[in-house]
Amino acid sequence: MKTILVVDDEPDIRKTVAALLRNQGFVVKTAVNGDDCIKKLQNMTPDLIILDIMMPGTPVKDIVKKVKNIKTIFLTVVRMADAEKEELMGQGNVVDFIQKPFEINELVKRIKMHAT
Amino acid sequence: MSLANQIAENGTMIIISDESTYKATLKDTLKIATQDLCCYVTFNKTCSSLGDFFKKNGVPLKNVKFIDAITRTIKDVESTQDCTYISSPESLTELAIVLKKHLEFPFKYLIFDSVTDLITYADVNNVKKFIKSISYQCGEAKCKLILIAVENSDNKAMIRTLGTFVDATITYQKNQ
Repeated sequence: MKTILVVDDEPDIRKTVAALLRNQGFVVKTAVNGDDCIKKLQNMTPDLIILDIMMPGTPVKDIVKKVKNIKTIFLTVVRMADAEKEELMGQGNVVDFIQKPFEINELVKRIKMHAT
Repeated sequence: MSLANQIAENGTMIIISDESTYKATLKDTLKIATQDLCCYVTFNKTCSSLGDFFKKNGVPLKNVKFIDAITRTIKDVESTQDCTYISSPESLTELAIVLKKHLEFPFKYLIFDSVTDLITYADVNNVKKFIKSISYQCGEAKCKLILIAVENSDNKAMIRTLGTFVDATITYQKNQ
């Protein structure tokens, strides 16, 4: 079974995404921010990380540098230019961007695509 | 009264929209403000994506200087002549220092897009103090302060509080 780490400071998003993915048969762990994510990664190696782009504490650019070998999807409320997304996907393990608010079926489809 | 007249009549103001009218609010406000020198602070879009938004909506960029509180949380980037990057929306002290410098320049408008995004990232009490201070500084600098707010059921009370720090609370209506 594939394991996914959902990192988001918004409890509603974190719980909703975790519940959706558990329903799809994934093992889901959660972290409340970037620092919590780094801490959790000391004891686990998920197949995929869903990472909110704007959270208090350590900026996401520093978290991505620390998460070197795990595919990461940015979950973002921030509007970014396509060129910027491409630039970020060229660095590290960022494989996708999912815009908030997201459509549930689309979210699940894209996570499945990257996790399997 | 039209949005243009309301903006003309007030020195500091909060313009309230909702999810469905936010883009129109931004577009209409920018079309008015960018006729003069304008400093635009973004808390929800990167500076690059704003350039696209301006172009798509026919808003001229030539009078606008940006302060971007988003991009540096995602990647390392150096400030340019047109855009000053700050480390994150939480960094109100850093933003205050940057704004103080910008307000020495004769901007006619200072726009916060959006103040409701700012309160999701930074401590609410600090945001209140910050807005109160910026509102005062804008008055001194003869610069109009426009706070864009996207109202939802969770932030109504906060928007009302922020409204007490400015001259006018304007509820955006399409075709105003």
